[in-house]
Amino acid sequence: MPIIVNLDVVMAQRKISATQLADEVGITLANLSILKNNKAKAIRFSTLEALCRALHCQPADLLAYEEPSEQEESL
Amino acid sequence: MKIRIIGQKSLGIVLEKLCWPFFFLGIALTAALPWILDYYGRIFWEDLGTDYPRILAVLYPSALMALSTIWQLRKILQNVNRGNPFSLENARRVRWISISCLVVGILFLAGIVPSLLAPLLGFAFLFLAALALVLSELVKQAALFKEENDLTI
Repeated sequence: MPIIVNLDVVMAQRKISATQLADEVGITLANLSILKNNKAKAIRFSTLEALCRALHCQPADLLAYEEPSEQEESL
Repeated sequence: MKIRIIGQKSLGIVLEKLCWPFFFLGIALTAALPWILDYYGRIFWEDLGTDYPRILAVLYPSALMALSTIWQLRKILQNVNRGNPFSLENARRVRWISISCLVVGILFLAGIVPSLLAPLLGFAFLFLAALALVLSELVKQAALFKEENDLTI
C-alpha cells in the first residue's frame, strides 16, 4: 500500500515506548504493532486523534504517501 | 434453559463429535455397499440383473462424496467452535461441499439408475449444490470483511 505509517519514526523522536503509547492511546500492543509494521488496512479518526494527542504531532507526521513503483502497480 | 449454540460445551461441539460416528458409519456402509445393494435388490426387485453394476457405479461415488462432505462439515464445525467461523478456509470447504453435491446431482440425473426417484434426487442435489455455492461466497465475503475489520485500528 502506498500509504506509509511513520509511527516508529515519531515514537523514536518522542522517545516513547510501544507499551507506553498503547496505554496512552488505549489500543492493544498487538494493534499498535500492526500499525507500526504497515499491516493495517485502515485507521479510525479516533485512533489517529489519540495518537496525535499522545505524540504531540499532526496526522501528516504519522502518515505519508509514497508513489508506487511500476512493478508494484502491475501487481 | 438456554442452549449454547457454539463454543465450549455447546450444540456445535456435540455436532462436531457426532460427525465421527457418522463418518465411520459411512465408511462401513460404503465398504458394505455391494452386499447391501444385493440384499435390497433381492427384497424389492427379486433380481437387479444388469442394473446392479450401474446402480453401484452411481452409489459408490455418491457415498465417497457424502463421506467427504461429513469430513468438511466436521472441519467447519471445528473452526466455528474455535471462534473462527468466517475464514477463507471455511469458504473453500463449503465450496467443496457444493462440488460434491453437484457430482451426486449429475450422477443421479445421468439416467444410469433406473428409477423415477433418481431425477428427483438429482435435482435436489443440484439445488443443494447451488445453495452451498452461494453460502461459500457468503462466507468468503464475510471473511474478507472480517479481515478488513481486524486490520482497522
